[in-house]
Amino acid sequence: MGVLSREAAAAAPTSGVAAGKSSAAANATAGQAEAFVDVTHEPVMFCVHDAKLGEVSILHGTNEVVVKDPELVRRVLTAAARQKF
Amino acid sequence: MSSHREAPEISKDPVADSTDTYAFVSPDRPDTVTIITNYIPLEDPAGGPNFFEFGDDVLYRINVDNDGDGKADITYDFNFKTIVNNPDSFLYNVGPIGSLDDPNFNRRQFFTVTEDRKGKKAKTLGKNLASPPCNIGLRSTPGYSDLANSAIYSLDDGIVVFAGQRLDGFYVDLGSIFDLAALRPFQHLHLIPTPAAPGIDALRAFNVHTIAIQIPISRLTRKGKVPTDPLGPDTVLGVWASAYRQKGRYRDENRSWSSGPYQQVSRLGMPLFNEVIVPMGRKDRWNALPPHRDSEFAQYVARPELGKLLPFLYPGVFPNLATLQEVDRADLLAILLTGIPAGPIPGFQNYTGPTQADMLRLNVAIPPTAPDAVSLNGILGGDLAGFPNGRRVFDNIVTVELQAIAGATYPLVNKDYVPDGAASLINDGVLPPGNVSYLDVFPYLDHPVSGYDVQPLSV
Repeated sequence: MGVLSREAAAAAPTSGVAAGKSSAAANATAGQAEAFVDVTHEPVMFCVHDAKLGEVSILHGTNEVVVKDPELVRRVLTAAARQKF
Repeated sequence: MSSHREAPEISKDPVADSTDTYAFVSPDRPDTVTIITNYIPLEDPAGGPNFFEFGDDVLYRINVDNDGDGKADITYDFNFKTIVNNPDSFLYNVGPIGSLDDPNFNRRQFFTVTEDRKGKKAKTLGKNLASPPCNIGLRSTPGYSDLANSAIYSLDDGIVVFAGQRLDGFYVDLGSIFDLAALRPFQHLHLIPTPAAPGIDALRAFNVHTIAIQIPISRLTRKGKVPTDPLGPDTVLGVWASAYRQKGRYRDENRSWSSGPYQQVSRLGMPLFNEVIVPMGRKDRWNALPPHRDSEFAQYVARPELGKLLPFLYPGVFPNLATLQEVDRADLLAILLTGIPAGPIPGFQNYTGPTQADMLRLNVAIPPTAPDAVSLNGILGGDLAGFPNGRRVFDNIVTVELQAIAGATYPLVNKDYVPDGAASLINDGVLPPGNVSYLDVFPYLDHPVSGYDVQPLSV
C-alpha cells in the first residue's frame, strides 16, 4: 500500500455521526473510555500525513489529536483507493 | 517592501499577510506604548464592490516579550466577525454611510480583543467593536474622518484600540528597487546605468488594514513599572505581530469551514527581515516559526545577500563593503537579532539578551522626540526614539536598512572599519511628506484614500 500524499489525504471531513464514530474508534483503540464528539454543528476532519507512521491527525474545533492506529490508517487508505475523481 | 507579499505562500493570502509592524512610545501619551500592525498589502482604494476587510477565519495577534527570551509574555488577540444586513444586495453600501450602525452600511465587521498574560486567565478587553467601512468616496462615505474616528475605542485600564482601513504609511520606490536594486538617485552608478532621477513612492495610492492598540507601559514591562533610565533593567520590550489560520480547511458547494488548532502563517517584527534577509526557499518556514527559533536564520543576517550584491551592482562604489564579504556582520546581528547593547551608542541600548529573535525592540525609557527634533533616520540620524528603537510610523526604514547593510553601522563593532562614502548617502529617493501623511494622534496612520479620489500612478 502506497503512502498517501498530504494533499490527497487532506481531511475530507466525514459528516454526522460517522465522523464521531471514527474519533471514538480511535479513542477505543488507544484504550480510553469510549466517547463521542458532537458533530452536529462542527465537523471532524482527519489527515494521514505519513501512512508508514500509522498515525491519524484528527481536527475538531480548535483541537488536534494525533492517534496511532495503523489499522485505522489502513482502512482509510483502502477507502481512499476506491475513490474515483 | 517592508513585508508586503514577502514570502511565496503568504503572498497568496493577503488578509493574513502582515505588511508592517510598529511599536513606539506614544508621543501624545508618553506613559503608553502604541503597537500597530497592518495587513492586506496594496489595497487599491477603488477595489469594490467587495471592499477590503479582515479575515473572519484569521486570528490576529500582537506579541510582547518583556524578559528577552523571544517568547510572548503578553498577547493581544483580535478576532473578527462579518455581518451582512442584506445579502440580497450586491452592494457594500446601499446609500451614504453616516455612522457605524447606519443601515446603509451593508457589510459590517466587528472584532473582539483579548489580552492573555502568561500564567493568567485570558481577559476580554472589548467585544463587538465595530470597524469603520472602507473609504469609498464622497457619496458613500462622506465625513470619513469622523466616521473612522468613531471606531476608536477607549477600553478599561487606559487601553485604546482601532481596527480598520488606513493609508499605508510605508514609503518605498518598489519599482526601482526590485529592478535589480536600482536606486533612482544613484542609478547612473548602477551596473546598467540610466540617468539619475527622483524616487517614486510605489505605495502612495494604496491602503492597508490596520490593527492598533495603545497600552500603558506599566501593563507591559516585566515588573509593572515605568522605567526612566534607558540603561537600566527591564526597559526593553520585544514586539512582533503574527497571524494564524486553523490547520484544516474544507469546502464543498454548500459549506466552507475550518477546524483544528491555529497554525502561524505570518509574522513580522523588524521590517524587511523576511523580505530581504531570508532566502526564497526558507521564507515560508520563517513565517511559520516563532521568533525564539530565529538562530537558524542568523547566518543570513551575518552575511546578507544584499551586502554582496551592492558592490557588484554598483561597480567601484562600495570597495570597503566588498572587503566584508566573508566577515560576519556583528552589527547586523545585534541590530536585527539581539538588540544593541549599552556602549556603542551613548545613552542607548535595546539589548534583550543572547537569544536571537526577530522582534522590534523598544526601550520604553527613552521619551518621544519632539516633532521639530525628529530624524526620519532614527538612531542613524541621532534620534534615539526612532528606528531601530522600536519603529515609528514615519521612520525611513528603507534608507536606514540600506545604509546599515552597506556598512554604515559596521564601525559600531569594528572601529577600524571605514565605511564607503556611499554607505551613508544611499537611499531610494522617497521621503515624506509626499503623498504619504500621518496623524499626530492615535492611530497615527492617516485616514485611507478613497476609491473615488485615488489618482492613477504617473511619473
